[in-house]
Amino acid sequence: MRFERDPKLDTSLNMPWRRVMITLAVILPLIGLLAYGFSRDPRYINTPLIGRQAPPFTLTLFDGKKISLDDVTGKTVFLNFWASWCPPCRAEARDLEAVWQKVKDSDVVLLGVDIQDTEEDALAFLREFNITYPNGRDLSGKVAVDYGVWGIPETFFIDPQGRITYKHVGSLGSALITAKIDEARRGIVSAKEGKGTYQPIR
Amino acid sequence: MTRNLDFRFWILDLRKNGFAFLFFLNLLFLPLAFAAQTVDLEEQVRRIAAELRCPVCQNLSAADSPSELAQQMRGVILEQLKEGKTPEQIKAYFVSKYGEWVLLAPTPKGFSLLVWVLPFVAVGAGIIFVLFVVRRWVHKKNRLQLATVEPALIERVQREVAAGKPLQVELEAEDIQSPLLQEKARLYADLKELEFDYKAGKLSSTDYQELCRDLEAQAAAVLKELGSSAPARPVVQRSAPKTQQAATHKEAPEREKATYRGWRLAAGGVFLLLFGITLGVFLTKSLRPRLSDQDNITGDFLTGTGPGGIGTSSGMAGMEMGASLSKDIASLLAQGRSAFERQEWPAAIQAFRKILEADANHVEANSYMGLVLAQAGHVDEALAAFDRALATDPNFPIALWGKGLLLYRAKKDTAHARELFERLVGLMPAGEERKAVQKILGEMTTGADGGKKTSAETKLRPAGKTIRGTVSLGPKLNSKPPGSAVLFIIARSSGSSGPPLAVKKIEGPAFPIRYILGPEDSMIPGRALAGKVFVSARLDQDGNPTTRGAGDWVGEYGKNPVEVGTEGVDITLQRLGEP
Amino acid sequence: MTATIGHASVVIAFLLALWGMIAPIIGSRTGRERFFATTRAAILGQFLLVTLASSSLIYALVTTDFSIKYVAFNTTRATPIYYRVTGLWGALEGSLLLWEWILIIFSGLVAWIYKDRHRELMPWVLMILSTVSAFFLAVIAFASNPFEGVFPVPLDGRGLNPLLEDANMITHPPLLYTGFVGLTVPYAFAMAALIIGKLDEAWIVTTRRWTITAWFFLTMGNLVGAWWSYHVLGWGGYWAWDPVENAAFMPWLPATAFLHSVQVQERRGMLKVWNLSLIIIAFSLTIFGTFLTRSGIISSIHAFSSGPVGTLFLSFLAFILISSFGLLAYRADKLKGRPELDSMVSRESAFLLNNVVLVSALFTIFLGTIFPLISEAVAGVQVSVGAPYFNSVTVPLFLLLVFLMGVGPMIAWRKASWDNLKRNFLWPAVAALTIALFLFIWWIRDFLPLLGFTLSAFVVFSILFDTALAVRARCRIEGEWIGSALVTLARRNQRRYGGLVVHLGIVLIVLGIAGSMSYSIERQATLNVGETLAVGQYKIRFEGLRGSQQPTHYRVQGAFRVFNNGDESGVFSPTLKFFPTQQSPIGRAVFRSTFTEDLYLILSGFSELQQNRATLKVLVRPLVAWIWLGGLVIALGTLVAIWPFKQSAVSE
Repeated sequence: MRFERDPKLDTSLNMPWRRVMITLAVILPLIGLLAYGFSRDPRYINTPLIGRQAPPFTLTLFDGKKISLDDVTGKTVFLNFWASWCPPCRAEARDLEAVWQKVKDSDVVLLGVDIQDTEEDALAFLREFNITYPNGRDLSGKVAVDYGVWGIPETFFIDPQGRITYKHVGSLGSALITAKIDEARRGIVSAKEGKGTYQPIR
Repeated sequence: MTRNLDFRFWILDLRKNGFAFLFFLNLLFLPLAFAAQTVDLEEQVRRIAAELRCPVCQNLSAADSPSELAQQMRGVILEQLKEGKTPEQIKAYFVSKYGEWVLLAPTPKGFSLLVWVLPFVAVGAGIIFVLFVVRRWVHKKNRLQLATVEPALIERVQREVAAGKPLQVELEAEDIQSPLLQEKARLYADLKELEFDYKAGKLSSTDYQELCRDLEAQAAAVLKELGSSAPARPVVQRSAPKTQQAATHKEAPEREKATYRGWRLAAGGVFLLLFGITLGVFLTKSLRPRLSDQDNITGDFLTGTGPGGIGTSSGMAGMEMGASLSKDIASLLAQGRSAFERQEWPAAIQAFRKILEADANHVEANSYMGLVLAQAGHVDEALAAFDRALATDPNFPIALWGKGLLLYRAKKDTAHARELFERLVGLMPAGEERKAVQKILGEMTTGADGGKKTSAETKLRPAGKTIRGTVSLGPKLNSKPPGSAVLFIIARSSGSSGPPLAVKKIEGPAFPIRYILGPEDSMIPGRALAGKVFVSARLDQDGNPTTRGAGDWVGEYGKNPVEVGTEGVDITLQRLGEP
Repeated sequence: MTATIGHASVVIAFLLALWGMIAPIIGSRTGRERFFATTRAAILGQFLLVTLASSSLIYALVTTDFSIKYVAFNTTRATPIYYRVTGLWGALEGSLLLWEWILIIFSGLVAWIYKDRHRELMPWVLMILSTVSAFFLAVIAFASNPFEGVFPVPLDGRGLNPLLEDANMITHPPLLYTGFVGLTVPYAFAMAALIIGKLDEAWIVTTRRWTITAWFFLTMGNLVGAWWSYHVLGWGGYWAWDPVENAAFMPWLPATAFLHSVQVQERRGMLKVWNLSLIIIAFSLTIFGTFLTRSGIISSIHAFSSGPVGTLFLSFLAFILISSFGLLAYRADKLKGRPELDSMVSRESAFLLNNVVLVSALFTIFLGTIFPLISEAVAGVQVSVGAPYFNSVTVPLFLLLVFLMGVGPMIAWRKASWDNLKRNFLWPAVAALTIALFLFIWWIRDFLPLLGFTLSAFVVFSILFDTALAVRARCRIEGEWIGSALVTLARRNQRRYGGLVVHLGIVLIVLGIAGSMSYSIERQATLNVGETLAVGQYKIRFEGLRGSQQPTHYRVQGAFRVFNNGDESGVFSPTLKFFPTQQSPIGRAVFRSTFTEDLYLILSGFSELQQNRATLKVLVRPLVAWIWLGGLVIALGTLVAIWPFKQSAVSE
C-alpha cells in the first residue's frame, strides 16, 4: 500500500520567511546568552574593593602583639587570608615564606589572617611551613567580612597610601607575588582581580 | 490656711510621689521593654539577613544558611544594629564588600530595573492583548449573518439531541471524521450539557432558550452542509487516495516484493555487520590474557575484579578496607603461588607479604613465605615463618615439609625432622609425594645409623656424588667485588632456566675459589644430585639471592651438561647478568 | 564484563535510534510502508538494549563492582542496598541513563499501544522519539559513559553524597524524570502532526491521557522535592527558588496552560498554533532544565559536576527550538481556525486569561533565573535573583490564578449573561466574603494573606456549590441518591470533576504556602543544659548532647524536651552529622507536624569547649501539612480524570 502524500502539502519554496526570521531572532540570542554562561565561573564573586581604601582592622598576632592597618601605613602590605584546612593555602605557603625572606627588610609587610580555624590547627600550620611573617586569627570573622572574603586563600595588595591595588582569589605563585608587590609599591591599581585555585570558605 | 497648705503639700507630695511612682513603674517596665527590644533585635537581624545572600552556600540567604560565614555575617549585622545603623546602611555595607551580588533581590535601579518591571509589563500586555483579540473575535462572530434556517432541520436537531444518543464522538478512533461531523458532535454535546445546566439551575430560562436557539441554529446549519454537498466531500477525500492506492497496489506487488526482500536482506546484513564489529571490538578490549592457571579471561565472569585483577596500589588513597577481604586474600594467594611456581621470587614475596600484612597468621602465606626464605638461605626467618604457620595449623603439610627439610638439611636436627616427616607421612595420601617423603625418612635413618660414629657433617654424606671445580673472575671483570657479594654456584637439571637442583652459597669469596657441590646442597627434596646437570655461577652484589641486580656477575661451565661426580668443573664469571 | 555489556548495548541502541530516525524519512520518500514497521522494531530493540544496559549498571552497583568508575565513585561496600540502587541516578552519567530508560519505556508503550492506530501519524511519532533517544544515547555512549573503567581497581568506593542518603532519593528523581520524559510524548505527536500536515485534533485527543499523566508526575516530583527539602535539609523551608528548582517547575506551567487551552481547541477549533507552541515550549523547558543542571553555568545545590555535556545539551536545545518553531512557522497557515467567540465573558475567555497568567508566570520565573547571566553579559554587573524577588513577583500572579480557578470552571461556555454569573457566583462570593470578615476580625490583618484566604475560600465554595447543583439536578431528574449521583457525574465528565478535585488540591497547597510564609515564627538561642526557650505556646528545654560514631559519619544529637501549653510532647533530637568528606556538618532537623502547624527544631551548633551548650533554632510554621495534603488531593483528582471507565455513555 503506497503511502499517499497529502496533495495539499505545500513543499514549494513558499516559505513564510518573515515568521522564520522572527523565530530565529528570538531563539538565537537566547542560545548565545546561555553559551556565554560557559565562559564564567558561576561561584565567582567580583569584588568592588579594588582601588578603594583598605578597610581598617586590628589583629592580635599569635605571639601576642597587636597590629592594625594604621601601623603599616606607608608600607606596601600583602594581606593574605588563609585557613589550615585549605589545600591551596598549603600549596602557596612555602612560596609566601620565601617571598617574605626576600622582602622582610624592605618596606613590604606580609600579614596573614587565619579565619574559621582553631588555634592548634593554625599554629601547626605555621610550624609545618616555618612561617615567620606576622599572622593573627580573625576570631569573630569581622575582618573577613570587611574584606569580602569568600574563597581562600585570598590576597590583597595594599599600597603605601592604603589603597587596595589588586586582589587575588586562590593560590599565588612567587612570580605573580613579586610583580604585584612591585605594582603596589608604585601605587598602580590593577584593572581586574585575579583567580587561582581556591577553596570556598565554610 | 493650714488646709490649703496641706492641700498644696498634698499636691506636691502627690506629684513627687506620683513621679516617683511613675518612675518606679517605668523601671518595672524597663526590663520588659528591654526584652522586647532584644527580641526585636533578633527579628531585625533575621529580616536583614534574609535579604542577603550567603557567599558560601548555594542560593541560600544568610538567615537560612547554616554555614560559619553566615553566622559571622549575622554577628556583624547584630553589632551594627546595636551601633544604631539602619537596615539600609547595613545592606549598603555588605554591598560595598561583596558587590551587588550579595543582595538576594536586585535593587530596582539601573539595568536591574528591567527584572522588576518586565513581569508586570508582560502580564499587563498579555491581558490587554487577550482582551483585544477576544473583542475582535466576538465582533467577527457578530458580523457573521446566520442564514435563515429551515425549521425542519431544527426539529431534527432537537429530536436527535433528545433521543439522547450516546454521543459517538470516539475521537480516539483511527479515522478522524471530517471536521463537520466533529462540529456536529460538539454542538450536540453542548446542547446536552446546556440542558443539564438548566436543570441544575445554573441558567435562567431566558438564557437557556437564547443559547439553545443559537446552538440549534448552528447545528442545523451544519446538518444542512452535511446533507447537501458534504457527503461527497468527506468521502472523496478518502476515496481518491484509496482508488489510487488500489490501483498501484495491484500493479506492483510482485515487483515490490522482490526489491523489498533485497532491501531487507541488505539492511539486515549491514546491521549484523555493525553489531558484530561493535561486539568484537568491545569483547577484545575487555578480555585479557590469563595470568595464571587459576586466572580466567574475563576475570570472574560478570565482574571485572578477580584473581590478578586488583592493582598493586590501591587507587583510592585514604580509604579503609571494607568488611571482608577474603576475596582479595584469595587472589593474592593465587598470585603468590603462581609466582612461586614460576620462581619469580620477588613477586611471590610481595604477594605473601601483603597477605601477611592483613592477616599475620595466615597459614598458607606463612608456609610459602618460609619456603621462599629457605630458598634464599635465610634459615632462621624461614623457620620462624614455618613456626607461625604451624602455630595456627599444626598439620599443615607444606609447613611440616618445609620445616622438616630445613631442620634436616640446614640445622642437622634429625630427630625433630624425623618427627615432622613421620607426622607428615601419616597425613598424606598414597602417591608420589608420600614416596618422596618416605625416601627422605629412609635417608635419615641410614644417615643416622651411619653417622653415629663419625662427626655430624660427614655422617650425612651418602654415596658421594659431587661436582668439584673452581670459580674465577673473567678478564673483562677486573674490579674487585664488593665485600657484601655472595657467590652462588647452581646446578640445574635443564638448561639455564630450569629449577635448581643444588645451590651452594659462599660468602665473601676470594677468587679464584674452589667449590664442592654435593648432595647437602640439594634443593629439591627427594631428588639426589645425579644425572646430567647444568652448572653455573652468580656473584650477587647485595647478597640477596631473590633480587637479581643488574650488577651481578654470572658465568657458566663451558661444557654443560656434566655428569654428577665430575671434577674440574671450572666456571669463569664473564659477564653481567640480567636482572 | 558488565561494563562491556552495558556500553555495547548503549552503542547498539544508538545505532538503532539512528535507524529509527532515518527509516520514516526513507519510507516517505520511497513510498514503502515497510520502513515504518522497522521504526517500531527499532524502538522495541532500543527498549530491550537500554533495559539491558540499565540492568547491568544496577547489577554492577549492587555487587559493588569497583572496576567501573561510576560504581567506585558513588558507592562503598558499606552502602545499604537501596542506596546502591538509587546510585543509578545519583550522579551525572547514571541520571542520563535513567532518563533514557524512562524515555524508551514510554516510547515502547506508545509503539505498542498505538500499534494499529494512527497509521499515518505513528511512524513520525516514533521518529521524533527516536531522535530524542538518539541524542541521549549518543551522550551516554560517547560523552559521559557510566561504564567507564577505572584502573587500578580500588578496594573500596568513595560513596554517595551524604546529602543524598535519604528515603526521598528513591522517589524524587524518578518521579520528576517521568514527568519530564512524559512531556516528550505529546511533543512527538504534535511534531508528527506538523510534519505530515494532519492538523486536526487527533493528536491532542490521543495524547490527552499522556499529557495529564506527565503533568501528574511533574507535580508529584516537585512536591516530593519540596518535602525532601523541608524535612531533610534543615533550614525549614520547602522551596528556595534555586535555579534548578525553577528549572523543574517551569515545564509545569506551560503543561498546565496546555491542559486548559486544549479544551478551547477541542470545542471551538481555535488556538491551534498557540497549543502547539505551548507543547514545544514545555518540552524545550525540560531539555533546558537538564542543560541547566548539568552545564555548570549556574551555581546550585542540585548541580551535577559539569563536563562536556553542557555544550551538547545546548546544541540539542538549539536544534529542538529551531526545528520545532521553524516547522510551526512553516505550517502556520494551515492552522488558522475560525476564531470566533460569542462573548468576552465566557469560559473561553477565562481559559485564555488563565493561559496568559501561567505564561506570564513562566516568563517571570525564566527571566529571574537567567537574569544574572543577562546582567553580567549586558551590564557587566553581577546580581543575584533569589527568593525575595520571586516571592514578591509571583505572588500576585498566583493569586490571580486562584481567582480564575474559582471562576473558570463555573462560568458558562460561549456566553455568560449577567444572570448566569449571578446564579453561579453569588453564593460562593458571599460565603467567601463572610469568611474574610471573620478572619479579619479574629486573626489576620495583613492584606496579602487575607486576600489569599478569601480567594481560596471563594474557589472552594464555588466548586462545592457547582457540584451541589449538579448532584441535586441528577437526584431530582434521575432519582439517584447523592453517592451514586456523584459517581455518575464523575464518570460522565471525568475531566471536569477530576479537574475540580485537582483545583481543590491546589487550593490546599496555596493555603499552606500562604500560612507558612506569612505567619512563621523563628527563634534562635544558645542554651545550657536545663535552660528553656519559649516560642509561641511552646517551651523547649535543652537536656543534653550525645555524640556517637555511625558507620559513615559521626553524629551529635541534642535532646530537647518540648512542652506545648504545659503538656509535654516528648523529646526531640535534631542531629548534626559530620562526614569525613564534607567540609561542614550536615544537619538533620526534627519536627512535629499537626494539621495546624509544624514545630521545627534545628541544631545549629554546639560549643566544643563547654560540652553541654547548644544553639537551637526553632521554627513554628503554620499550615505546612496542608501542602502535602494538597498533593494527595491532586493525586486523587488526577486519578479521577484519567481513570479508564467503561466507555458506555461517554460525553468527553
